Amino acid sequence: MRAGLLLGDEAVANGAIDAGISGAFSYPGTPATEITECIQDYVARRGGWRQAGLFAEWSANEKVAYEEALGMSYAGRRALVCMKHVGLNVAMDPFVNSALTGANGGLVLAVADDPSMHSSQNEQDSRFLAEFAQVPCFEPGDQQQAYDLTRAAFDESERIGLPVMIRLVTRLCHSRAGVRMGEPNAREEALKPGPRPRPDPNDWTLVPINARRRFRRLVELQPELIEDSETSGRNRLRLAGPHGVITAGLAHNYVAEALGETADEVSVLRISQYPIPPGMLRRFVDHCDEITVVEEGYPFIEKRLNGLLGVPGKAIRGKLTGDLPATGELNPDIVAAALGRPLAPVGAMVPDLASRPPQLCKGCPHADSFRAIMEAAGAYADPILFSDIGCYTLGVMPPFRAVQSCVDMGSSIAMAHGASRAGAHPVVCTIGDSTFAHSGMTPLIGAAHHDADITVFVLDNSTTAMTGAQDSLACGERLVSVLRGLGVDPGHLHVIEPRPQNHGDNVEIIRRELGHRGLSVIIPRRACIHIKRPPQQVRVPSAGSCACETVEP
Amino acid sequence: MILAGVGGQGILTIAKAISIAAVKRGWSIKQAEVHGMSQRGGAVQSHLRIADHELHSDLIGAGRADMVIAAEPLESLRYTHLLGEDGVVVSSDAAFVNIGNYPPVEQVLEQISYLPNHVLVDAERLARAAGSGRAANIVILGAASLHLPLTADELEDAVAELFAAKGDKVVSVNRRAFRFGRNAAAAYEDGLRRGGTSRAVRHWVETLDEDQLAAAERPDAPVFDVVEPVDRLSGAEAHAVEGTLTRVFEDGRSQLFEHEVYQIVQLVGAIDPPHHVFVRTDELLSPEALARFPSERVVLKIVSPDVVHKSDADGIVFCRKDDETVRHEMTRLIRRHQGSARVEGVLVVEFVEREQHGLGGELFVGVRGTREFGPIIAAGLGGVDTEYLARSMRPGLAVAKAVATDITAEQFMDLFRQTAAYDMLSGRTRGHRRAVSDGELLRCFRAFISLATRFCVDRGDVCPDVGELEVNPFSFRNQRLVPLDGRGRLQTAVHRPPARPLDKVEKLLEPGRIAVVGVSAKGRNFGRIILDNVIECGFERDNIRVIRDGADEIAGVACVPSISALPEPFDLLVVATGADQLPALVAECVESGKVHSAILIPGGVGETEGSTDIEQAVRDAIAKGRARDGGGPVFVGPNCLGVQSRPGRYDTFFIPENKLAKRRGEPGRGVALISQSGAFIVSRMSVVETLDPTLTISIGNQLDLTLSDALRVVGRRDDVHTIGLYAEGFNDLDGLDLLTTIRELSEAGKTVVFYKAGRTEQGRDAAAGHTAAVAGDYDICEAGAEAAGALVADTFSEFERLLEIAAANHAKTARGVRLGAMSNAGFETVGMADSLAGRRHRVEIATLADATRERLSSVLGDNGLARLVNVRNPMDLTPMAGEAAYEGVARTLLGADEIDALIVSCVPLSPAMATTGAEIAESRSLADVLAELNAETDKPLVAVVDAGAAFEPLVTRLREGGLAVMRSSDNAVRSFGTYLTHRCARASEEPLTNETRTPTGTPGG
Repeated sequence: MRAGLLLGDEAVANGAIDAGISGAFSYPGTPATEITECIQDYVARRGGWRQAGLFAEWSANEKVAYEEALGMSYAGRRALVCMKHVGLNVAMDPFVNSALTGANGGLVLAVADDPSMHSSQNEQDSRFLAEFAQVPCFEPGDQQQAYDLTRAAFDESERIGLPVMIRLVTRLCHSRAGVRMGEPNAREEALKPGPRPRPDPNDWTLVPINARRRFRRLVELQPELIEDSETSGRNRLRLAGPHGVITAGLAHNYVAEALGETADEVSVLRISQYPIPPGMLRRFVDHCDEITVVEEGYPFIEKRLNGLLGVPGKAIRGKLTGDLPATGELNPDIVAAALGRPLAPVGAMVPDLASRPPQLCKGCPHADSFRAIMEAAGAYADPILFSDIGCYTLGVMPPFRAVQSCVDMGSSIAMAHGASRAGAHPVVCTIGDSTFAHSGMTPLIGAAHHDADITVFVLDNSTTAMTGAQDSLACGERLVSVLRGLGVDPGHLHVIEPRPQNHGDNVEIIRRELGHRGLSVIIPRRACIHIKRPPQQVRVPSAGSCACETVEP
Repeated sequence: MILAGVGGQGILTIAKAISIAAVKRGWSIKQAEVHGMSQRGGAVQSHLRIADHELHSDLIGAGRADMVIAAEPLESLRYTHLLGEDGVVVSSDAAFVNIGNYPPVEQVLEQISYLPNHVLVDAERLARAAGSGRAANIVILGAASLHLPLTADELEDAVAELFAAKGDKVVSVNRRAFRFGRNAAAAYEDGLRRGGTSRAVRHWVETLDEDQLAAAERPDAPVFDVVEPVDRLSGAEAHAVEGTLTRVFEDGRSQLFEHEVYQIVQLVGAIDPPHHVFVRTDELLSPEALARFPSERVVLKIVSPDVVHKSDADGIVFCRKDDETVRHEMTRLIRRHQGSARVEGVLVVEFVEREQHGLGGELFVGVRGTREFGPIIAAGLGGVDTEYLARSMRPGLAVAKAVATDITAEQFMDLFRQTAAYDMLSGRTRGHRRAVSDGELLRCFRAFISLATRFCVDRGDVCPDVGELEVNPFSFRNQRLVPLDGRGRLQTAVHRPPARPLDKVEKLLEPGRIAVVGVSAKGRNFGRIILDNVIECGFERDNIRVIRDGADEIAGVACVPSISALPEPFDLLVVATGADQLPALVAECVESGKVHSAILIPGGVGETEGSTDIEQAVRDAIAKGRARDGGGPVFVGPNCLGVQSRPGRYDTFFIPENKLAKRRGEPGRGVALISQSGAFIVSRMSVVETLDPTLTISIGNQLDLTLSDALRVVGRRDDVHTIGLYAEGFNDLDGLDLLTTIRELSEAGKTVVFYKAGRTEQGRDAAAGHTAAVAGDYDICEAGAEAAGALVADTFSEFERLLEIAAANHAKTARGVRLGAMSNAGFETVGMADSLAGRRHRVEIATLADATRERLSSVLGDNGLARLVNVRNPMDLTPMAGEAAYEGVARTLLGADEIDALIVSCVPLSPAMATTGAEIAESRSLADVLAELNAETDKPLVAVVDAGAAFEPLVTRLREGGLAVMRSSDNAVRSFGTYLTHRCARASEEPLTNETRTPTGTPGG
């Protein structure tokens, strides 16, 4: 038996590897990034994807990733696709439809929600999307479960012929604990077409006549999914006292912590597999008078339990009743208070300390870009400054204040186009090279086609910096070629180097292009300091080499 | 436990190491990390739980944490609410300052030190000591290990395992770091138990050496006194300041911007600056940020390395605090300067309402690293008038200044109390209320002195040195200091050159054997004059060699062909060749090892065009010798007259006998003259021929031996009690060494009379700040020398007078400053009374006791002067007085308890006295009278002869009788007064004055 001290993300990765996947597909996004990185590390240690029999490179975006995984499943091999919650919005189209086509090789979607929005734009709950697509969803509560459930999800996917979602939350993704791992499945023939028979093309070609049939199949599968939830043993029901707690996933840990030695007195229904098992729920509700629903994310179970009208005669508490906060992640204190068991007297008062917000790194190329943009745009009374998702979103902070929007990946260009059609000028958008490859190209094709009066800055730092410097698919000269290919007028396509010493020149170029009534694209190109700095560049300044020129007479 | 820090400090590595050790025990682990956006320079934390039972939650509830382990002090405080009752905080004391409002470091550390269970370690320093600054996190782990439920061995092995892949060196560095951390923490806790304050204990821990830190046993803490003022910066504060300096350096700047100066003075806890925000040229100030300014108005200041004095350059704008006005004014301000200067941005500062306007409403404090004296501090009236006041007020009144390494904050406070600035700031003058408390001033001075001694010095490769740092002005609010402008500059501090072997200088002054090179066989060149001088002084010919190829002997002295050919090492070589031969000769001295010291007479080295190469070659050769065992030979000069040594029986001064009487037969009078200029000495010797100096050293260009070297060696001699010192410029840090030497000599009871030439406005270029302007090199030299105990002369004639007085009176006792004075001319007695107080002296005319008056009346009666002369002090004896009257009155005055010192003046044109050369040869003259009295009394005494050349014989006779003779009575009072004031101050006793009751109990007037 192997054991390791793993992040939740790493546990998922190891579960998938041990389940014998042939591919992992993803676009980086906190808090899911480390799943793919862990698999990439595994591949690298085996000398590459051919030797490892496992392909794990970054995809252009989540939709692409999902489709690549779906293709692998079609070919009869097991595939993992991972993303953060808002990434699933991007991949929603193939996700929902793959429930109709079904999976051939096991297809597992690991999706990481971000309650409290540590690094996200919203805290949407992916369980709703699993239910919406009508596919099974497993929700691990700890690192061991993350490993176990991921492995099981592949078997389940192949058994039932549907993709299976693993729902994670930030706190689990980024927490480390001991995990015991089983013997990995064999993978000798991984690079040959799968042993599974090729699907019937009619099942995977969703023209209406096929789609209707496949949708009916999906609906007809639901009782089987429910039955599995009731009997798989992944959901646990323990009836004891009249006070009951329904928990799911990570929330269970806080409940266990709060109940401590009184755990035996309290009835607990612990959900790890969806759809919610109605039979278990029925027995639980019949047994308990007072039920607290503790779940991370939206009140998914609580809403299903209450329906529209509630359960007569039972007190049901949770996020809907305000017993738990409706926003933000849970923690031991919140849960303990909701269960009427405050943990301990609150410790020392927090002194009033100066806060230390995140900021652009010292020497970041984005800082120089923003300074130049703001100086040039300063000539206009009210420039519109759309931006996108990445490190550069920190340009919203003083001293830059160069970011007025951050909505979703790739939105800046399309929003800029829209605003320009309302007559705004100048309209500026800033988007990183990786975000541009993710979903900036599509809106730019339109903007180029219509010669939209916008100035697009593709901030090329040659990496996906925010999530930890993953490779970017369109940077350097490749990015220039892409932009030309998308139809950008070469006369209004510039590459500048954002450095303090180039500030004046850069401002001049930007000023000129802001004045241009049509599409301009400027690429401020300088590598992120985190990928550029060679290892021993930490310099201790010596007095002898001090840059001062004045010397005492 | 909670692990806390700033992104990039490696707290996850701490967590990993603990986890590895816990896994080995088979324990459960839960560790929640922070990834993503928060890692970008923001606060980061991690929850880590380890237990021998099952754990559920990844997060720790409030009040349930056993430890906070922090890589940064401010961050450690952020999570104290999670700590349980017995929870421990283990933190590095190194502040990571990447936010503008970082509080004073000591304040943060103090807050931590209030926690009942805490440990502070200087992780950065210990990590560097262990071999790598990057191991700071492991130092903290080591510190935390004292309180972890795992053994030190388990944790250290975990550290080794963690770094195993990086090689043995990294592993051993981190093992050391772990031990250093653990032992430093143990020492810290021990120190606290022994009653030390956190600050005092940290200072003590800083003194532990690597062996103590690496030992398995924890070092024993001393018993700490309860009150323990620690003057200098703590390591934590220094570290924080260093961070700011490093950022400036890495920006490629030498100038510090105003807000950076504010940050430094705030970090060291000196002063809270007004609210301010630095806005770069290409940035905008947000309305929210503007709204946070507490004042109704704001001040906009241009920030540019080219604009030093902002108010002179139209670089300051006051405006209303509304968004539009500020934006408009900022744009205008930047445009106004952009053409002529590199504009970095605009500093927006809270408008501080001044409590007092006009002169005295502001304070200036600055420090500066100087080449000659090292770091200095200056403080005085601030604002735009600083320089004007410093120039126009007498020294010490506008600005207090001192060598920072040589003074405590309390001593500097005493100096500052003597300034007009203090009078005004403390509300002692009309129209002024007290503006600032003494405690606040002391705190400020302490911080600046600490900054100066820590940063304005040569710090090797550690970090850039500070050239200058000043706040001008400070304004005041509720008796607290508020800085309104600040500037600073990085500059490489001077290195201290290697020390000269002074034992060889002792030999130089009394050599056993002398060699001379550059002697002409026939003509009377300098070399030949010197040789003759040496022989004339009585130096044995057998112990002299002339270095000359092709000759056997010159003037009876044997010749050798080269230095190398000397039979054995000679104590002294006198080089009287042309300058162009110096490099080869100096090199030969060094290479052959045949001379211990040499006097290099030739001029024109390094001063004239083309001679800089010679200078460099000589320097190089000297340095080569210095690097050897014993330090090689020492060299006086070049460009000097060399040495006249009575005890050494030699003289290298090539002045013909007929132009300067060498008085070879006379014994030395215990006076030594040390001068950078040979001519200065011979002029003084010509003016006062009877000085008969024991030693005279013309030090020349100081290519090797410096003024302080000469002073130190000469001052230590028993046969020298008074030293006249003339300096023009100093070698690197030699000014400082000179001050130290003066202090030593002064404490040993010797007198140094000092004249510093070169009052040019050094360092007052455009880049220099107020500190340089008000505390230039001359000012500092003068103030420093005075503080060190020298008698400072402002003029050449003052130098002569003081030297003469000091030499004549060195054996006397200076009890007080009550003068007795007598003359035979009315104008003199009036003039004396007019000169009682001056810049450096304050003396009194003694109030005569009744007994004295009676005795004087009787003396006057005996001499038939009773009706002509009133009994008073000064005594106007009238031209009718003869030697007998003089003798009687002088004896009475010297015998009076209420008189501490006496001036006897005579206008020698009086017919009643023997004063011409012929007269004094025949009869008992005043010179004979005073010589007797002088021998009898232990009270200081000077004579005054205010007359022309006809009376030189009398003057000479007086001087030969051991008296100091002044040539006018007013100068006599000034110089004698200065001497007495100085002697009394040196004895550091309150001098007796008319206010003081005399020992006999005679009531004063």
